Amino acid sequence: MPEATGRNDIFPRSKWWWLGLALLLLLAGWLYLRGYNHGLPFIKHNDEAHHLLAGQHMVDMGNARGVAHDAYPPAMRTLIYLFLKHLKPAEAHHGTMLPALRLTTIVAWMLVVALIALLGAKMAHPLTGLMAAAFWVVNTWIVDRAHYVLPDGYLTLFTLLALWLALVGALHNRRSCSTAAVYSLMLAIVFKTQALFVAPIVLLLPALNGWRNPARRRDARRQTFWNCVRFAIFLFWLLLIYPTLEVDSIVYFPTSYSSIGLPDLGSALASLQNALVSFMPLDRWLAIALACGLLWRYRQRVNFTAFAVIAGAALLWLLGMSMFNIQGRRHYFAVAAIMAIVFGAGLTGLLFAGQELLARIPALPFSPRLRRQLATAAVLLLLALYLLPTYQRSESRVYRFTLHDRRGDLMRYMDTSLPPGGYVTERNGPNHKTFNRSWGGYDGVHDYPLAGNILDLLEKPLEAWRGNDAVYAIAPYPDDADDPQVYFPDETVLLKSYPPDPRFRGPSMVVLRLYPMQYQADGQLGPIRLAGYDLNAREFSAGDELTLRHYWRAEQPTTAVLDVYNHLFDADGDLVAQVDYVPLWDDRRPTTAWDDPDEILLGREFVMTLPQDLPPGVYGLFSGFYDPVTGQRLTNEAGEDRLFISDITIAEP
Amino acid sequence: MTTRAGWDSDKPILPRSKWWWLGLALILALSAALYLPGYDASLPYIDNPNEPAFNLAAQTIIDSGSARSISFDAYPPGVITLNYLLVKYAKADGAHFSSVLPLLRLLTIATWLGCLPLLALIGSGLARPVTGLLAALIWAVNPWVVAEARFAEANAYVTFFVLLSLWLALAGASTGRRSCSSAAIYSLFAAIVFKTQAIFLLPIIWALPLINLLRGRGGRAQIWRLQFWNVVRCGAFLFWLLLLYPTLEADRIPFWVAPSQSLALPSPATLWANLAPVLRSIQPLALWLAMAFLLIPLARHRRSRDPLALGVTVVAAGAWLIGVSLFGIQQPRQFYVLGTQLTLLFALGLTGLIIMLEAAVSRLELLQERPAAQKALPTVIALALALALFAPAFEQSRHIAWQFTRHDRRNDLARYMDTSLPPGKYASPHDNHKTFNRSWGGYAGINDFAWQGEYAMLSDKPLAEWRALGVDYAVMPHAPLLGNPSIYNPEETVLLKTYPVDPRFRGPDMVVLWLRPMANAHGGRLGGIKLLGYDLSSNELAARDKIIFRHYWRAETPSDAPVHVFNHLLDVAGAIVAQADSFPLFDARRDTTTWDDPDEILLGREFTLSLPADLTPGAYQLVSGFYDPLTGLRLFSASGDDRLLISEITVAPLEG
Repeated sequence: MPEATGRNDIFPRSKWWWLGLALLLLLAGWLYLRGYNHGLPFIKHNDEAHHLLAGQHMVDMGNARGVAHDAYPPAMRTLIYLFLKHLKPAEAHHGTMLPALRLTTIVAWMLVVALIALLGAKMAHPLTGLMAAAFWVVNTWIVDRAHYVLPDGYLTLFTLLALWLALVGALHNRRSCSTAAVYSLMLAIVFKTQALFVAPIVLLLPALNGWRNPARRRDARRQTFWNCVRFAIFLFWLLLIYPTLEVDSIVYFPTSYSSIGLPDLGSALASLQNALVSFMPLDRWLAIALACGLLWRYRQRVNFTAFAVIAGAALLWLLGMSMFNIQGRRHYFAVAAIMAIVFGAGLTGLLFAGQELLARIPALPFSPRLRRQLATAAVLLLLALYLLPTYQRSESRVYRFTLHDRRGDLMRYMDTSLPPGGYVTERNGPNHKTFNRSWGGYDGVHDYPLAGNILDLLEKPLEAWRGNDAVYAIAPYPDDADDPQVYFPDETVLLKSYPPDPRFRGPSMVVLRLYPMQYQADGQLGPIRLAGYDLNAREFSAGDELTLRHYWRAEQPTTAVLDVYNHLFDADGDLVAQVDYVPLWDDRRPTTAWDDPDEILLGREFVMTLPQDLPPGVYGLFSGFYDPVTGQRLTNEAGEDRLFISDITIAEP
Repeated sequence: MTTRAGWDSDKPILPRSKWWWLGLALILALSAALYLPGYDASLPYIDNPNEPAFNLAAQTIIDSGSARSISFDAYPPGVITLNYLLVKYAKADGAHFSSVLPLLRLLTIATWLGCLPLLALIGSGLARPVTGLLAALIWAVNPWVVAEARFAEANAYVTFFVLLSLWLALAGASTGRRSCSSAAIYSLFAAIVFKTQAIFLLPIIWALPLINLLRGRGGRAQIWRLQFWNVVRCGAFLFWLLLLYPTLEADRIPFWVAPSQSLALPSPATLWANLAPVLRSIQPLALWLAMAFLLIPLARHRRSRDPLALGVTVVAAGAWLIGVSLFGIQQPRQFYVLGTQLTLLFALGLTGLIIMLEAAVSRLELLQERPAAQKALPTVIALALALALFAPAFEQSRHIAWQFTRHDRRNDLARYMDTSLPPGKYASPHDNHKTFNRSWGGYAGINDFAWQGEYAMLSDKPLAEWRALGVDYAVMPHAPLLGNPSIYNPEETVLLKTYPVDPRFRGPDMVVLWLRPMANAHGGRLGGIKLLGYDLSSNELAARDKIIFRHYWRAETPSDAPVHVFNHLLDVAGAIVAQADSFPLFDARRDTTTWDDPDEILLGREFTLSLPADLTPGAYQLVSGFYDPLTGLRLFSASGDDRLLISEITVAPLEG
């Protein structure tokens, strides 16, 4: 049998091949690594949060049944469990391990690139692998997926590794490789059970040697037998000890053993189509198929065993999954990887044809070697040009990952600036889990529970918004940028806006307080302007409590951290009552951090207890800012260091 | 013969003599005769505390995905997984999880039986084939093993897999079979998942192939490659054991025998305290000294022993003893593996005796012309000596086995109370503290009888204090009653049921007491049933009041048909003015056809008879009797009466 690498080597020996692979890995690293910590601390992807939560449940309770994840293939949450249990600081949120986990996952995706190159090289020509790997690396779908901690990378890695090891074991008569292939397949299965469909190929491939070489028949049978024994033990664990067959209990799990049917060619073809179009339109794949046909002419240079094994694996995968009629693309990464190898094989057909063509042109003044190199360079150039638009799309995708997600800002803003309270947002909107500690990665001090997630939020009355004790609303930024106060401006306060901005990732949005400001005001002290206030009354009796809340707006942050003072003066200008403190609900948002001129800062609720012996009469309520360290006050242009809030009348007892 | 780089590849791994296999078969038959009888000892009551712990852990995993709620998630998973498989797949729907115990015990016995061929094989490699058979025989009749063999604990499995690992490692090292050396590692992993302490043997099993580097046998590269892959295997296994599985959190397992805070280098006294019981379980210490002397001839006859196997046996015994002793003085059950190694050494001593006898017999002129007899005689003498030495152990083991076959009366107690008494709280010493515990005692009755919470004799507290604690019953030893019948306050309690000392039964002798006195005595009889007395709420009542009363019965013989009790309130004219009929006891399952204990006092159900609102003031009679609910036939007294007068009842006029 011809060996694809030209010699009986497991690995290609050409330094140029390894250099090419290194360059492709660099390219993959460039595409996969940038923005690896996108979104964080907000966890956007549901599955990432689910796996993390399952891992945390394992640490806390010894199993993941609490999140209906105990029957899910265990490897992903076990990997997470290791990070959470042995690396995470005791008090840290489980989401803090996501960067490290994402980097680990990216490493797995990069190893997939190397395995595609190795498998392709085994099939026809060393360049087959490199061209397949290049085709794979720039695929936007893969680039996107590589940024999340999901089992797909590991599943693809261990499936391809199992195929490569099985091929090496069979083609090079290496028993250890055939054995390792079985273990690798087991690893793939514990990441996603669907890898089971490839098992017949990996288990039985050693028998090929017995068929090819009768002298090795006994060894081949023994190897196949022990492969089956190992796999039987694994299946015993998988099916009888591990609750694999109880997958129906997993939330949103796409597979149910109760819905299993016969393999369905239509479903398999639809799935294949989904995987193929992730690379390029179907009609172009037709051209690749024709190019693959060219390989028949050069069959002496093609390893059809490798071809059959790789293609057979894809076929089994497709038919296996068709028994569940599952066509979602994310279940077919391994098939897609094999299709990339097929693409590489098609280009290899063109390469061989080009080399033959150049070799037959007698007029060319080049040596045969140079003619081959010219043909190779031409094919590689064509490939590079062809992949350029895809690369640009992927590059654009990666750029988006590098953008800052403003939901992280929103978390920090509300945690430090607003009193705890429920919020309402759109049910299918981007903020329904922003303040969910388990699912959204929120790790703030204060709680902002989802008071109600309303479908078609904008079409509902304010009363629906206020339902379920909602204090705030997080709504999409209005289309009319000139009139941002479209959200019941008379009945709510627009606290903070996050307008559309290409520099940021995540939604544009506004934060509303679902209660109106009682009184407008426009006094100014330093850079801070009083936009209004709430006051529980203007007439009191001695001994009553006066409750006051300011609404501030700052043109720019102050240079020092300032506190608010609130003084009640009698007609003679004597201070009769006072209450001083940090201006907002939380002292982590000092005036030095009032950096958004469009923001309305919701002041803390000051409660001033009026003295029991306060004589009836009219008093003046004033507020101002002072530096608690130096005592220095903010003043306005008129030189005043306080703002008049309201006259307060103390009634006769 | 050595081939292939110096390996003894033609050396048989298994003995080839048919006599050897026949001997092993006989030993297996003998041990099965000792292990199997009474394999379902005590069931459904679960006597052993560990069996229900593993059962419960398995059931908890099925129910909630982890055994953490009973603090067993860090326990070595082997035996719990075995329980899990049986409880999940072999237990009938609705059955108690302990219903798989008979099957589990049979599996465990099979594993103990599996230890015997392994001992025989290791012993055969140690010196001669007969060494192995002697070791297997000694182990088979060891009462310590016979007493343990029936319980579904981890000891059988850890012993089996350690022996298998040692045998495979020795076979791999002496024949150069890499697959054996690798399988030895896997077998030890299996032992470790049953009991972590098997990890102390991991260095020995791993290092054994290296011995061939010293011997100059086999290719160095081949040996190092094997060692490398074994390191990889061990690394992967230890990664799982220490980082994925919560092995290092074992301190929170209840009654865990190896808490990390007790970890210390063992003193000679600790080592001896752990070693001595194991030695004694085989033979008295003095005899071990004699065996040590018998090892001397082996030193002279080098061809009669395998120094590698001997070294491994001694080192494995030492590693196990020292390793387990790191956690202080332990119970003998932690040392079954040590026991197997010592058994091998004892058998080796007997082989030394055979060698001595062979030397002596070779000088006897009488047998010079009978080479067959000359060859067989030393072995026969040694076997006869071994049989004589171990006959007492066999007898003791046979007695232990017989004890397991006896019926455990705690099951009778559970059935009796479940069917005969109203639910309530009970006090007892340790013997019965979990008899009614559904999780730990296997109780599967309908009614609940909660244990009051501390091991106690009735005399530990005044009766009033017991009653204040809500205790209704006491299950106490019967034996003290024989010496002093008044010991259980006969005036203040009712002795309901007795289970006197009886060698035919397993479990404690006991009495069941009702911690309330019988209010009124009676002597009436109907058929075979005698009314000993009754409780009555009051005999002076008004219309609309309720009469609450309870009978205390005793039956000479069971009735032919299940009869019910009728209770009638009769006026002076003999007319029924109120009645309450039902089966006689709290639970219908204990009908009068099962009143088969003439010494038992049957606590009648509490009857409530509501007086009619228009009942005329005056004198009435409360009478009770038995009737067959199918035929209406009543039981009669000797004088022909079909009812017993319980009490005169006076109905006073309604006030106001």
